This record gives sequence, structure tokens and C-alpha cells, in this order.
Amino acid sequence: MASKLLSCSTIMMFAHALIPASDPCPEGKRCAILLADDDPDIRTIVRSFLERDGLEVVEAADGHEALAWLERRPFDLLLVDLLMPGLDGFGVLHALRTNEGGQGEPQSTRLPVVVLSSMAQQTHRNRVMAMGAADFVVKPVDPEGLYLTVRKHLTRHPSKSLGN
Amino acid sequence: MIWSPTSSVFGFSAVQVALAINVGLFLLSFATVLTIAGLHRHFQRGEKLQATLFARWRPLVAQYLAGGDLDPELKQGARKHPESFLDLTTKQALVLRGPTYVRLQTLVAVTGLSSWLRARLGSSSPKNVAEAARAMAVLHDEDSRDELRNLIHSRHTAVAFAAALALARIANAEDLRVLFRMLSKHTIDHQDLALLVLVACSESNPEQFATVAREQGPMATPEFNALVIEVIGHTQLQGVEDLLRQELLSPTSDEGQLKALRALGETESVDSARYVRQFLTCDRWEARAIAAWTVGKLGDRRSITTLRMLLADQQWSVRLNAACSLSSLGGPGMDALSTAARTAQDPFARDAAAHALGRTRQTVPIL
Repeated sequence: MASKLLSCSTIMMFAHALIPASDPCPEGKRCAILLADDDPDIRTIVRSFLERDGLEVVEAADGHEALAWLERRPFDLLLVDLLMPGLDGFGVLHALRTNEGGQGEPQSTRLPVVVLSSMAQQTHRNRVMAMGAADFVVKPVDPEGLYLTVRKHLTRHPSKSLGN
Repeated sequence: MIWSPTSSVFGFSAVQVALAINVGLFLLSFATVLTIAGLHRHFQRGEKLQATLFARWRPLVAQYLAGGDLDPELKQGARKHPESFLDLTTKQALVLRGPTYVRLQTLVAVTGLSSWLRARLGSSSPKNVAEAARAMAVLHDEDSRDELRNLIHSRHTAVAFAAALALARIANAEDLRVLFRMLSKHTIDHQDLALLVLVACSESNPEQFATVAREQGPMATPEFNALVIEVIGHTQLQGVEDLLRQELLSPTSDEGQLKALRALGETESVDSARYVRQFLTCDRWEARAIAAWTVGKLGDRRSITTLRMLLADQQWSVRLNAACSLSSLGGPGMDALSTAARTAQDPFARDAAAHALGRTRQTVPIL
């Protein structure tokens, strides 16, 4: 058991080392992540992992709040749960990709979206990927792995939120 | 005696007695209302306190999980309100995995709550014991093994199954034997709970699961054996072909045999196809239907001729599974299917073939 855990930690450390040293956000600025999840435990834990590594995190408790934040200011990445009261993750993705409901931000159609979900079925994964999600992370979540996923997509889509 | 306002009881007039009863009833109602309101306020205060504690602890727990130090306030708070702290950490444990999950378990240990939980397992209240065992099931406390082994024999079902689930999460081979014996007795009355515990056993110790299943099988009830086979099929446990073949050829029950037939389809064991083939022509249509699906999953091209015949079976599920398997068998299977769709005399066969040509391979057998 101990060796198994050790190997997990070692892999995670090694994976950290694989992330390009170049910061996707220019010096002195922080990448902004919008985290939409109705579970306060997930929000607090994920936020703490992302902030530890210098990212700025804004929390939203449901889809409507997330869209309101996206109208108010730009973000570099959206982390969204699929099952939420009110407007769910599918609704947020749909609104973003079709610019519905007045989300007229030019970046909203290009904003990388990482979906978090406890619905692990391939059909859900296929559906959100077809709707334009950049990645799909299954709950229970490994915050270290999630952090690496976020960094990967931030590197692929360099910061657009800065200078606004 | 006829009552009138002037009658007297123990020296009191009837009017006085009636008045006293009314006052008494009024006071009783008033006291009841006050008690309910008090209880309501008490629970509200409890919920409010819990919400306040959660809001205060969440960032401190998150900070610890992200590699920070243990905040003294968190440690003190956890010891002062252990139930609330375990409520929070048990909830968090359900949404976490990987090294962070292990760190959460460490947090419970360093706050001294593992020993608190272990002590609670010895409580006289079945409710407390069941709750503690449920927390153990999430937090995987290896030191509570002996206590859990005793508790699975509790006469309270909630306690017995919560303890069984907690033990299943940390099960070694000996624990599996104990659990198999316990579950075998309870399968008929509590099939769903038994299934839950068995799945946890197969996930926590897949290497020993099959060994113990082989060993305990002859002593277990047919219902339990069927459940074990079902778990093997669902969890896609590998290296268990011999167990499945044994159930197939010397079944403990009809249900177990069908489940073994289906589970073999998940094993990727091409050798097993020869055992499955004989069921393609079995009298029981359920067996024909599942066998038709299984030979497709195993990629057995020697079954093509029989599958082609099954396209005209009287049962639609057999026809459809046969057609889907033919489509999944590639070249010769697709050829057989195309030919059947065009030329088969039987309209059922033509329909099944045409249907399968328009869909992808089935992941579950149609029954």
C-alpha cells in the first residue's frame, strides 16, 4: 500500500516537472479561472490547489452565476460541473458556444472549458466534447491531476483575460 | 348518579372540576408547543453551528490538503466537535481521490479522530455504531479490522452491512472469507446490500477475490454464487475464466449459469468460446440470447454459421444479439449479415440483419 502511494506521489511530482516552465500568463499577471460547482467542498479544495500555484480563482455556485461572471469580466479558463441546480454545465456550454443570452464577449466562444462530472459514461463525455469542451475530468477528482489539466489548457490557449 | 352543575366530587363542584380539566389541558398544550419550539430552535442552532463550523473549517482543510500545515484551530475544533468534523471529511472523501484523498485520511488520523471513531464502534447505540462504520468505510481505517469483523455479525442490519462495507474496503484474504460467509447467509433478504459489499470487495482486493470465490463457492448458497458471478461480470475481473466455466458447466443455479455466460463475454478469453458455443443451440432462449452476444464479444468466428441460423430464431432478443454479434465479427460476419438482409427467406432474419447493419456493436446483451 505504502509503495503504491509513494509511486502515485512520485508520478505526480514527475508530472509537475513535465509542465512547461514557461508561464502561460505574462509576468506580474495571474491567469483567471472561473470555477462553477454547486458543491462548496469541491470549490474550496480545487481553489486552494489552483491558488497555491499562482492562479486566480473566482467561484460560482451555479450556471447562472457563472454566466454572470463571464459577462462581467474575462477569464482564461472555465471549470464547470455538469450537474448543478438551475442552469447546469450543459446549459453553460451551450450558452457559451452559441453566445446566447447576451454573452457577447468575443472570447466566450473560444474560452477553454474543462468539465467536471460524476457522470463517467462515455456518452456524456462524447456529448460535452461535441459541445466544445476542451477536457472532461471525472469525479471523484484528484486535485493534483486537475491542476495539471488546467495548466495544459492554459498553455495551449495563452492568456486572453489580461489587459482588459 | 346524574351530573349537574351542583353535583360535587371530593368536595368540588362539577363546574370547578370542568374548569380545572380545561386549565390542565390548556397548560399541557402550551407546554407541548413550547417543547416543540424549543426542539426546533435546538435543531436550528445545531444546523447553524454546523454550517458555521463547515464554513470556518473548509478553507483550513483545503489548505492542509494542498500541502499546508495543520492549523491548530482545525485540530482543536475537530476534537471539540468530532461529529461535525467527520461529517465534513466524510463528505469530502467522497469527492476526492489520489494523493489528496490519502492526505484527507491522514488529517483524520492526526486530529486523533480515528481513535474516536474506533471507540464509537463500541458504542451501545446501534445508530452511532452504524454511523461510525459508515465513516470507516470511507476513511479506510485498517486498525479497526477486528472490531469490524465482530460487527458484521450484529443483529442490526444497518450495523452489520455498514461494518461489512467498511471491512470490504480494507479486506485481506481472511476478511474476504469472513465476509463471503456472512453475505452468503444474507443474500436472499438483502441482495442489494450484499451486491454493494461484494463490489467493494472485488475493487479493494481483486487478486484475492477470485481465489476466495473459488474456495468458498461450494459452501455458499446458489443465490450468493450467482451474485458473485454477476459482480465478476460487472467489474470485468480478469483471470477468473475457470470460475465462470465451472459455473457454466456445473451450474449452482440457472441464474448463475446465465450470469456466467454473460460474464465470460467480458473476459477476452478466446478459449472460452468453445464452452459458450454449445449454448447457442440451447433450449432456453435466454441462454441462446446471451450466448449469441458473448461469442460476438469473444470474437469467435467459428460461431458465424450458427449465428446466421439464429437470425431466424423465434425470440427477437436472440435474433438481435446474433445480428449484432455478426456485425462485430468483421468481414465474414458482415458478409453473412448482408446476405441475410437481402436473401433470407424468413422476414424476421431479414429485419434483424438489416437492423444490425444500421447500428454499432452492442455493449450489453439484449434480453
